Amino acid sequence: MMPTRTHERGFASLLLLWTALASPAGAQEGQHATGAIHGKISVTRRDEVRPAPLRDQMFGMYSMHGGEGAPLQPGTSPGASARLSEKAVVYLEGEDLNRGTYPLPARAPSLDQRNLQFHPQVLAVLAGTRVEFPNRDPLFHNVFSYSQAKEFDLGRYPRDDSRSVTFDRPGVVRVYCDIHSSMSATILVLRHPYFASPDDAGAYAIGHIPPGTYRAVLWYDRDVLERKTVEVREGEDLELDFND
Amino acid sequence: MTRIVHIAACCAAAAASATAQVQFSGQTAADFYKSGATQAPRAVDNGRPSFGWDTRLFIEGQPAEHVTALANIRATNTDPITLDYVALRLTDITPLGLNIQAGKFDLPFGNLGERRFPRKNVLFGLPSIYEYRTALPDHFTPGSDYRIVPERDIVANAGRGAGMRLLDLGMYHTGVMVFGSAGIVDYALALTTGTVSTTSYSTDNYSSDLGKTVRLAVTPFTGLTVGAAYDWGAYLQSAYLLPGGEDVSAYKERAAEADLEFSRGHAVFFAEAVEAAFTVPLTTGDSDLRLLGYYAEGKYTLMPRLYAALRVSGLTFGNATLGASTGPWDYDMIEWEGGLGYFIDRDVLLKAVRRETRTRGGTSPKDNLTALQLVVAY
Repeated sequence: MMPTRTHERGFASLLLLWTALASPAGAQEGQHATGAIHGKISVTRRDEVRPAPLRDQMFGMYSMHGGEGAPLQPGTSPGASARLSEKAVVYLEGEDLNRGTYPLPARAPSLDQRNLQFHPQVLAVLAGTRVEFPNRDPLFHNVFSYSQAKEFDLGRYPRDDSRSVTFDRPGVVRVYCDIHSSMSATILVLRHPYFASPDDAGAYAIGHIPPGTYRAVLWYDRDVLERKTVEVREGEDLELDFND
Repeated sequence: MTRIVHIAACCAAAAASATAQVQFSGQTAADFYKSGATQAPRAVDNGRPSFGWDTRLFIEGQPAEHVTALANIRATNTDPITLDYVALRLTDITPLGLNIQAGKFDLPFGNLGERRFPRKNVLFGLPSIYEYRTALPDHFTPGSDYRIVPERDIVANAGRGAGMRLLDLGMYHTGVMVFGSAGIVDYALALTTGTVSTTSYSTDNYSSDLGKTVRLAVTPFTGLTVGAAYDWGAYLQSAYLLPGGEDVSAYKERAAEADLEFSRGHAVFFAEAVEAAFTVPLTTGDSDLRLLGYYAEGKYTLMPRLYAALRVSGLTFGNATLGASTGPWDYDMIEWEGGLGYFIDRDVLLKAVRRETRTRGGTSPKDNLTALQLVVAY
């Protein structure tokens, strides 16, 4: 299904357009002839609670305060569903976008460890970006990844301490905690900054897009949920919804 | 009572499967190992190269918010299918955050935790305090000795490992446990049908006594947990009464334990020490046999995927008068186990391990084992 074009959509659309175009989002500096995309994501399965892998943690229970596999509190249920804003990312695919050079974000994005979960669970970054991994829990975590795009192991560090990793190579980086096997997140390392996370209502916007034909990709949780072909035109704000 | 608890746990698990989501997970290990060609307790297949396997299945059902039914099934190439763990866990059931567990579960003694499973065990075997068989049997041999432990058996077993382990593998036993946390302190109290050294037999209780276990652990700061536990109860496993109508319950095991867990950065360290005393109905009169066991284990992640691990563990036996002589009732042993682990994937671990065992003065003073193990968790 081709997306609908909007020229006059009222104040709400204008506001979103302004947001999309005004928001640098790491877009190429000095580029004027650009378009934008905005829309809404609706994922019906987002309310599903993915069961936390049981593995062996329930059976090693004598270190409740931060030992191996310790739960945060008795009865805590890690792995509960996160908000849409933490599980979804929309990004564009297109060779032309990959050829550009883009400034890195001034502030390092962060992937928090909180309540035995990563927040957000999906994070998109521009290649070369440094990501912070602060620990917000009163126990140890051990963040690691064995993904081809980036292998790292941050070791164990306490609450309010942080480690960082620079993601140089584009690709999908699966992130886990070595102590709490139910914790997982995905970092999408992209060659360009044309991506956005939705708000809790599912609204997203990507601005400063060079005119061209691209594939808009909805990444949800662990995988691509939907791809759509879009044609971005100069000065236009394209409405593109994802309804799964 | 034990049977009732078991049946209740099984029924609850079945009910859970009917009304709530049931989760399955597991891990399977495939091994290749070769030990020294000795008759020592740590030798495997008389030193012939062997293949083995070990698989665990974990099942969890949660029929209500604070109720969980758990089961853990184990099967290996040497043991039949065993239901190690089947328990109901009621969590956070009072304002105090009290938790109760009933059924068959691991005793709150020590800090082995999930390292009992191959995926979290950084080496091949468990520390010797969990695996090494001492010379002391926990059952009587019916015969002319009126079912009293003969000294000659203990002497004959010394260094050959035909008796009890100090801590019997995972120490699963049947009973009820209360546990919880208060500030930086964790506590657990358990009432079960045996002691830490005698958990591998059936869940029937042959004595009129119950095993009692108390554990306290303190975590002064994240990364350091210091714990201590005490366990006491009747340990002899026999349906027969002693001469004179005496119950086996008169013969107790008492075990005190201290443990430590420390981790920071890429280093993880565990240590545990256990002192146990057994009152034994010897043919020449009752005697206390004492035993001290310990281990220290460290793991360091050298780089993503690759770690090195080292463990030293041992058993030191106290003096006893056995027959005409007085001396240690078994041969002291010390064991070093070191190895490398490589994560092929997040849930696929390959380990290469070398173990050296020394038994001072025993019939097999030197024993060793080289093992490769591939573990997959799912």
